[in-house]
Amino acid sequence: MIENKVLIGVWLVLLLCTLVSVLMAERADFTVISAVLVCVIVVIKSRLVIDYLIGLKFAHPRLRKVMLGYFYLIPLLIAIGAVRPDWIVAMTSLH
Amino acid sequence: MFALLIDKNPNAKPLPGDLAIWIFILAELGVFSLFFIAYAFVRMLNPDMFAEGYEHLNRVAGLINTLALITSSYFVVRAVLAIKNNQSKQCSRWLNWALLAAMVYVCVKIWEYSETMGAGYTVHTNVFYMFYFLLTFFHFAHVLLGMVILAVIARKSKQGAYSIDDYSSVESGASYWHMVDLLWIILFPLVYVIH
Repeated sequence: MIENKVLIGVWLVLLLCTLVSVLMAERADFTVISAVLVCVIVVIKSRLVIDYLIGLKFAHPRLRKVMLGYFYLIPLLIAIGAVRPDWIVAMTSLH
Repeated sequence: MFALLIDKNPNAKPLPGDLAIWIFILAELGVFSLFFIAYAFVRMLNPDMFAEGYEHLNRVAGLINTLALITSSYFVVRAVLAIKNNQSKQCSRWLNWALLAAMVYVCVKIWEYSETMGAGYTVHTNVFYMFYFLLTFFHFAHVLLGMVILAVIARKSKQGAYSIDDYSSVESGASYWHMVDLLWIILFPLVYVIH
């Protein structure tokens, strides 16, 4: 069973990650790198929730892999969209 | 896809909650993924419209809602830990705290919608606002459903319906609530942060 100290630590890191994302968004020079960093933060937060709040780190490894896969893939697609939108347009274009 | 949830190995680690709730959660994640990808794609095609829409978003509301959902998820984990220690009344109390944090989300979301609509922006304004209302309201509906689930579990837990030998329903409700939190973890940066 997860210890309360670990749980509080996870909660604080999640709050901190959220604040870092917001501070980055409020900067005047929000760049492509900022967008990628925000996506990395999404992955970190998702992993903390999946592993410690849902508790999949200590249960059902196959479900954990599926959940982690989803929360790696979606931010990755968002990041690719921010870095190289032309790739996505080319991949989804019929021309 | 759902077959991976069934493990015939008797020594396999169990699912947190019922199999049915996990089938539901995976289906919901699939639906939301379509919305996320569609939003990101349409934004690429309409960068100016989305940049202008972003400027009018209530980002403070987005931040408060993120903190509220993360905090409510923390309270839900404490509720699960309480029932695993056979403390059903304590479990009910933690769930009530989670509901209070969720109520903050509901109030802030209503404030945000009333402010946005008061400024004349509706689902018909343009594609940005169509996606904004569609995505956030769909998630809002999931929050409301999650609150009903948590309220029922809190009530039953107070009545002593769960124990150290029977807490699968508590874990199922908790897993659903964490899914709602996880979806917001993607939705928040997608709509309120990346611009």
